[in-house]
Amino acid sequence: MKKYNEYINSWIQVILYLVISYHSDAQNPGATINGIVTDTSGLPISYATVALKGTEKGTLTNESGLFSLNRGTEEVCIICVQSMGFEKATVKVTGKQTGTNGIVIVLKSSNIKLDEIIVSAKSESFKIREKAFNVAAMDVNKLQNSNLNVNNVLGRVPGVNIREEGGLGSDFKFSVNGLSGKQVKFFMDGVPMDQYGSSFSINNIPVNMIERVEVYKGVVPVWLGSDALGGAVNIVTRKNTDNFLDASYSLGSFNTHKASVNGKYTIGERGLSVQSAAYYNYSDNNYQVDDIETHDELGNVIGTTSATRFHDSYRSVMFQTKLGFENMLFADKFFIGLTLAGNRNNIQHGLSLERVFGQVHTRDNLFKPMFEFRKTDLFIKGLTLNSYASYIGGLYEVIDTSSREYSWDGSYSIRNNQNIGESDWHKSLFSFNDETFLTVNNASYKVKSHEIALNHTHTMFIRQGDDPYDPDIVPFSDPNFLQKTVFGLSYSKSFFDEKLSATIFSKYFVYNGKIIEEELFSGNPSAITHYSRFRNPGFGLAGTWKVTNGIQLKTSYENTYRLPEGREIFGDGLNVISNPGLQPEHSSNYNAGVLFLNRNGKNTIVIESNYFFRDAENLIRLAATGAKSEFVNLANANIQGIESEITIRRNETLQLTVNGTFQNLINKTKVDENGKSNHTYLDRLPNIPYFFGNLILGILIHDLINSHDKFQINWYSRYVHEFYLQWPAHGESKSTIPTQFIHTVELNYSLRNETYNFVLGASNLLDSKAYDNFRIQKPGRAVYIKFRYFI
Amino acid sequence: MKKSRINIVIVSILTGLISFACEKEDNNPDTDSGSNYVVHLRVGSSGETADYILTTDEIMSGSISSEGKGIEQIGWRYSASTSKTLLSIGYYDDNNAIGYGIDANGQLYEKGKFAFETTLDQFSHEIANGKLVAIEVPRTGFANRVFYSIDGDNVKVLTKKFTPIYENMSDSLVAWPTAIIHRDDKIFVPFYTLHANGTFATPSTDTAFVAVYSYPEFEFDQYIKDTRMGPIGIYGNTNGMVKTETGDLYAYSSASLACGFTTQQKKSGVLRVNNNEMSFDAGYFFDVESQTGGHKLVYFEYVGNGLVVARLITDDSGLWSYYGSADVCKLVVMDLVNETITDIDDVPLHRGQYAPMLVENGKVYVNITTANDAHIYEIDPVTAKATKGAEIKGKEIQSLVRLANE
Repeated sequence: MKKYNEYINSWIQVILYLVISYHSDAQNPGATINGIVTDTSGLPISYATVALKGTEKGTLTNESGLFSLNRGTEEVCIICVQSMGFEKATVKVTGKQTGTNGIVIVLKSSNIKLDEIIVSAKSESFKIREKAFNVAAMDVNKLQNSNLNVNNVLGRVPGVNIREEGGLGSDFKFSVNGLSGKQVKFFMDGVPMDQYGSSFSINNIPVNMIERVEVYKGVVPVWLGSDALGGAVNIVTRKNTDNFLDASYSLGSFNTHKASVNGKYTIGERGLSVQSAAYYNYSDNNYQVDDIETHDELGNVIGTTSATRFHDSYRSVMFQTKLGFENMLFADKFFIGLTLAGNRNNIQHGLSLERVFGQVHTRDNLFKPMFEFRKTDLFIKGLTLNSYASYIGGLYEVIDTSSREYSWDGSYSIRNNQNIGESDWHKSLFSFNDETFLTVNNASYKVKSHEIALNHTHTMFIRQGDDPYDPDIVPFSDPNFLQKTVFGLSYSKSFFDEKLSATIFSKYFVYNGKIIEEELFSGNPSAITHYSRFRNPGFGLAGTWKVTNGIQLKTSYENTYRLPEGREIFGDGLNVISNPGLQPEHSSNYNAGVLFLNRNGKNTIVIESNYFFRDAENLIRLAATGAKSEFVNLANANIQGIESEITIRRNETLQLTVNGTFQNLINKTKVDENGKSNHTYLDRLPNIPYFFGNLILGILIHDLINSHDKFQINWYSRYVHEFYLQWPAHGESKSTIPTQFIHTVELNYSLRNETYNFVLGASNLLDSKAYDNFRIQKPGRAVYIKFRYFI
Repeated sequence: MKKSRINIVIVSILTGLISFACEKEDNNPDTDSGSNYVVHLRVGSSGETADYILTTDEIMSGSISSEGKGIEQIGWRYSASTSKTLLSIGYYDDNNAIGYGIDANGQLYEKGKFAFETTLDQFSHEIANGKLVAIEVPRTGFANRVFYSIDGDNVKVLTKKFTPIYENMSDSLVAWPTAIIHRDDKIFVPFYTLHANGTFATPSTDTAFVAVYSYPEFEFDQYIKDTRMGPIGIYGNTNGMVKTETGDLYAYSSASLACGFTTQQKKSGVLRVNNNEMSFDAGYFFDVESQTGGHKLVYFEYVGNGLVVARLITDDSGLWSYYGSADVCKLVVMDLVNETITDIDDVPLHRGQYAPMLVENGKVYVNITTANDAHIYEIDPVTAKATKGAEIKGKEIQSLVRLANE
């Protein structure tokens, strides 16, 4: 009942938003032009550029040649349409020509040189890349047929490294320019994903759902409102302007199934729009692992063996729908929506392969109603407002109640200590009930070459813990409250016809926490209330200069913070004791880069190179005191590195990308937690890859057997150089995580302008023993097939 | 020793031409040692520490460092030892013990490995012929404690016995052992009681307990208890009780908040079980706390003739602070027979640690870690004089032992 009331409350919030947004109804609407671009035979032309002359507005046609473009308020406007292999067309549109398929633009095929057309047809991803921030944008459109999840795509971005524990759904650690984990924040369409849990996460979202990913390295623009220490990832979902249906199913090794459905349906002209997406992932993850020690009954080592993982299956389900209006007078976008997601993850082993589990698993459920609103030219031309509000209900459970001690062959004995679980010192039916109220507001005002942007992101987080198995000791058995607000303000100005542009920005982090901790030491439990409060200002700047048409210089800086999480300040009520004096992590991040673009006939070369420097301090570490531990501000690190990428393209047919990242992470922790000098000062930080890179090769052949078919080969290689598990300067014999060089190939055949798509692929093609983490072997070769239907 | 080094160099040059593996092994003259001191050293700050097992010739001059030296360990570890073997004992996820010895060339090498459920929380000194006893303690509930009989020199578990040490269901109390002492055909296991909920709370601290078992069968024999003093020993150390040349057993109680005792119902002091007796000597209680004006005895190492080198806590105000950042310990010599305490003035106030002291030829070698640095000190218990020795270039040492060559 209580839960139900809270849901009602969240909806009241949403309705409140609706009222406010109606109140701020638009005075000055912009009309929309809809149309189709075809060739002279009437066949649609996909990915043609449609631009509104004299403005920055523009779009691409979709696979069916359709487009939709906000034309602003001018009575007459001119749109320019171009596509590779066709002559450029200019069309004058008067006020009344609007509506679905309102205009038909026919392009004549061209015999002129193609390269000139490509020059101006920069993709959205490339435009983002040209911004002053050190940002990598990965266009996923071309990968829609791929069997990948978002993290597979992100792992190919220079500077990014993702360390996975195992197969589908396994835990991962995401790092960008050497900072990782909670120091990097994830967003979906600009909305923080911090509270989404593991069921709606980059390791299970299929690429079909998204349009592109943007990785902001070190310096994060204010519209991504968050306390990101090392950078932010923004996942941009598909924004097809027209009705579509995209359904796919794949089947692969280790009994892996992935299905996804994604679509949009608009009723009538400018009418009600429904957009839905769903996915289902399942895998047994029953791959083989090697070099496992075997023991006799007493524990004496008798040899090593290989085994098949038997308790590692993973299942995740997500359903999302939103309903609303697009391109209305009062709003460009006005949607309410609901996301439901859940997963179940069986855990096979502990930190070492010798600690085998056969029962322990986690479950994660997400319930997220939301409301979004977007309006350009609100009240006055140039003013844009984006608002988002949602309630996020999360239920996270750890089920670890077995007294069995498993062996790798699946057999088990009953453990001596029936109170100990498989994965922890205690058995547990532990659950967190998390409730979050999230609001994100972005306003920007642009006039001529000036732009001011404001962000307000507010998170109200309530956590309550419960453990029916052990009512004595339940961390967070009383509800705990955390409130986090980020204010951002930025000012941008461009000079010399946009050759030079600069942004300065400031963020203000506000944090309030109230935690009720069970005092258990006395043997006479009592509750203690702790409060924690931070106010931290951050700031930064970014600038870029287009030196010539092909060379661009970029630099950016941010002074930023990561606020501690509840568990870090307040402990877990059991083995981790509270530290109300804990301070945020702090970092000064610097980037400098150069972007070089050259076209020569059919060939294009893009080279991008960035230098980065991170001066991170007060990093939070867990420090042991006797049988207990607490989180303390302890570590400092300097990170310097270079990331470079070169892409060579020959028409659409061939694309080769090679990138590499070298990063040097130096320990700057001069004294340990007891104030004593630290003898690892200035050593390279252990257990972090410092040299890695990718090779991506794509070959695309049109009209291979039939017209409008497409054959594609994509090859991906990933190299991560060997690195030390512990301090490189210490020890004579020491452990390493060996070099990995892993190849994935996908063959893709599409029929009828990508309506029917067939994919055959293999990951870890050479079946090599690969490790991201010490001794935790990743899956061997996996073969899969995929079918995708798109209209 | 120099001569042997030259020999090794010559041999290595010859074999190096034939075998790459040999070249690698002999390339490092730093690890061959005449003295065979073996140090378990920890470097780094919390969350980023690493443990190394290394040999050193000299502990009374220069420095002891793991830079480019030693065998790296996985995870946070304890150590136990026999005369020929150091057992590096992992914790939870590294649930194994690895044995290291010193070969004929003075090289440290891995002898073997065995696994256990979570960790070995308590272990004895060498009993005989390289054998020792260890106890694994479940963290919660009333599960049996696990007694291990271990052949340290061959790094093998010989037997495992599941047995409780002490259980009090009504008050929800279980036992945490603080020493394993072998005398005749018995082992004496002093312990403190703690709450079975796993929080390490100690609501009952009014009795000193020792459980006695047969050895090597680990059959329970009897409890020895006394209410003049609270529980014996402290967490993470192995010297709650010591045995003299004559077979007398001395046991101390810390009554210390800094050592994790959440209540202190009796004073810190020492009791004795005389040779051939199975009860505490009613005429003996060494009231350390009263005699020192409030200091608490938290560790002692037996040297001989009734003398121990001991650590006293001077400020007992912080829970678990013995294992933390405060320099709250001082070093003294205690005469257990005559009940006297002599300060060792040359040793600064320092912090507590897990490492036992090394006793050789009537001298005690102890690591002293302060806010500024860490050094080995040589203590002469007869004169109560200390000499400062090698600097420890690390966070702390987990053990300092001397091993015999194989």
